[in-house]
Amino acid sequence: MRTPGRHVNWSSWVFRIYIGFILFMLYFPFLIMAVLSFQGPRGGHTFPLKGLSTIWWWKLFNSGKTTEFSDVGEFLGNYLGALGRSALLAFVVMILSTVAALLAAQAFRKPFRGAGLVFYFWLLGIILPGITVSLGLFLVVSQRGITPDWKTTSLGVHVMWTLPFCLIIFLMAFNRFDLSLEDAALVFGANEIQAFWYVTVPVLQPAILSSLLFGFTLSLDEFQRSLYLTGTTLDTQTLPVMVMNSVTTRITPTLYALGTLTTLLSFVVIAVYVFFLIRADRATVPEAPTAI
Amino acid sequence: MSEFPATRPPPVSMEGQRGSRSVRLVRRLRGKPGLVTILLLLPGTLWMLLFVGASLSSVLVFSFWTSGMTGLRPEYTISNYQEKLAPDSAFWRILLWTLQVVLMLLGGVILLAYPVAYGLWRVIKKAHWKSALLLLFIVPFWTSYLTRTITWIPMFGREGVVNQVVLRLGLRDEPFEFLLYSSYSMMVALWFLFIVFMIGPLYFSMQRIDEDIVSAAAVFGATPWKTFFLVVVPLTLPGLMAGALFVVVLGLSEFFTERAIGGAQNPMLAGMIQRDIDGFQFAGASAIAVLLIAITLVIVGVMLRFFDIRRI
Repeated sequence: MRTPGRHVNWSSWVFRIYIGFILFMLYFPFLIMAVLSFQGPRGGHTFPLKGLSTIWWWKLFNSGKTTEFSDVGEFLGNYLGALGRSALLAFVVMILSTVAALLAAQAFRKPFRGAGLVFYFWLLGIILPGITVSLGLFLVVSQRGITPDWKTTSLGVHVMWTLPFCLIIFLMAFNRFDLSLEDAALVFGANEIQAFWYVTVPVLQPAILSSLLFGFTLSLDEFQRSLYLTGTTLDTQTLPVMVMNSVTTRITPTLYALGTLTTLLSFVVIAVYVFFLIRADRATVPEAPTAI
Repeated sequence: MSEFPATRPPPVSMEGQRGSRSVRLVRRLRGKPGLVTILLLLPGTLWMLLFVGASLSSVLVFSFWTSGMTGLRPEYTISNYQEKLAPDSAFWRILLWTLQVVLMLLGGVILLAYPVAYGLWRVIKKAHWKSALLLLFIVPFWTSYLTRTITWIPMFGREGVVNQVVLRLGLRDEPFEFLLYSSYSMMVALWFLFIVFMIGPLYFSMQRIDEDIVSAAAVFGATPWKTFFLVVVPLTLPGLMAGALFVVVLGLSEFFTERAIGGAQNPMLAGMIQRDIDGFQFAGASAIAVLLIAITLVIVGVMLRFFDIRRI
């Protein structure tokens, strides 16, 4: 039997090294991408590095302008514009899906006939393969003469994609929820809506934050569903769709610069999330569940 | 230290709020719990009905139309299905390949993720290390999938990192040619793209295991290996199934990684759909889409038989 106390033996080192290896495999490619984004002007998208230069970053911020190093077939789309569109879309998607999912999760707390059916129907948003949704909706929309656009059709499929995720987050949170808190509110004279707003929602802050984070990042990264639904010109594409088109035509280090930029932005978003999470955690019971 | 959560303080006293909006609303809804349920479910369910309904019915209907030079024509035919399901059609080979990939993906991800989750749970003892490492493992989930995919290209190329290491270490005289744009590179990339889906659920279900059970196993003489396989694994089945569900569902709809890293020669089912769309064969693409949806639903249905997802 193990003796108590600090006990570091070889097997725990094997685990530590293994964990380090997996972390390395997860993050090292990012590092490579960041390095390659400083590729020299005549270099390609793989090694070797032909000098160091910030020209690819310059191209990211000065889309559409050509230089003496530009050539025919170079992608001239506006990545930053697409990033702005995607961020705005993601913001709207996260609000809509969090609200709708929270209300629905509240409904699921009391068993009702057909609850299973409704739940699995929501799950279809995740289960249906993205490209089939994109194809189906595109065909319907184009047969009716409606033009797909990031503000309408993309919004529709993005919310369709994030709603089930947010619902699952709230269902998990309610599974761990302490009912006596609401009972106490009702005992003290609150009605059901007041109990919901003044007790349930604040206690659910970690789950709400998680739902917002998921809604935002899932929408920001979504490309399978919106592939044919963002509109027909470069000006209406969301960022992932634009990136996808670039990858299938020609990869340049500008794409790596973009990738480095968006990854850094993701870290910022996550830092904001963690900040609010810690703040919400401090305001609640010490061992409150933090739902991720 | 407050014992109850610091909820927002209600305005003055609840008793006097006769005319407030919530009181009036509650009075109207009090006797009708069914109505409340419907109202709460309405926004989300309507949205899902609209978009799920539209896309499903669309692929279903259009798969029976005919693709023509000028676009889809409403001439009903089953030839799209006949063509795809013919014994010598590429569909069957691609279906087999897709199932192979998803199976290898799932197996690889499970093998890679379990030791990570277990290590985080039992081996890493300090709480702040646990949280930090967990965050590090989950963060890639929130970065762009596309970005994570293309970062594998400079890793695997002829002049890529892996080959550089191999050459410098003198393991070989020539670089590996098969590394990039092959199924091998696609598989490796897929494993590390999808591992994030498994680590989270596994760790969280391990966290819910009562430590006393593990101690009890040790008391009864079980070795760590036996404890792992006979106690920990069965108890983490919910997390495993949740992760497996994500991996399978998203794996079946995969098309981009094969195209970007796998050489674009060996598409999976979703890739087959994409090619038909690129070739304006919308009816054919719809037919494959319907088949892919059916296959996915069958597989998910079987998986959900073993696992009640509402109990996570």
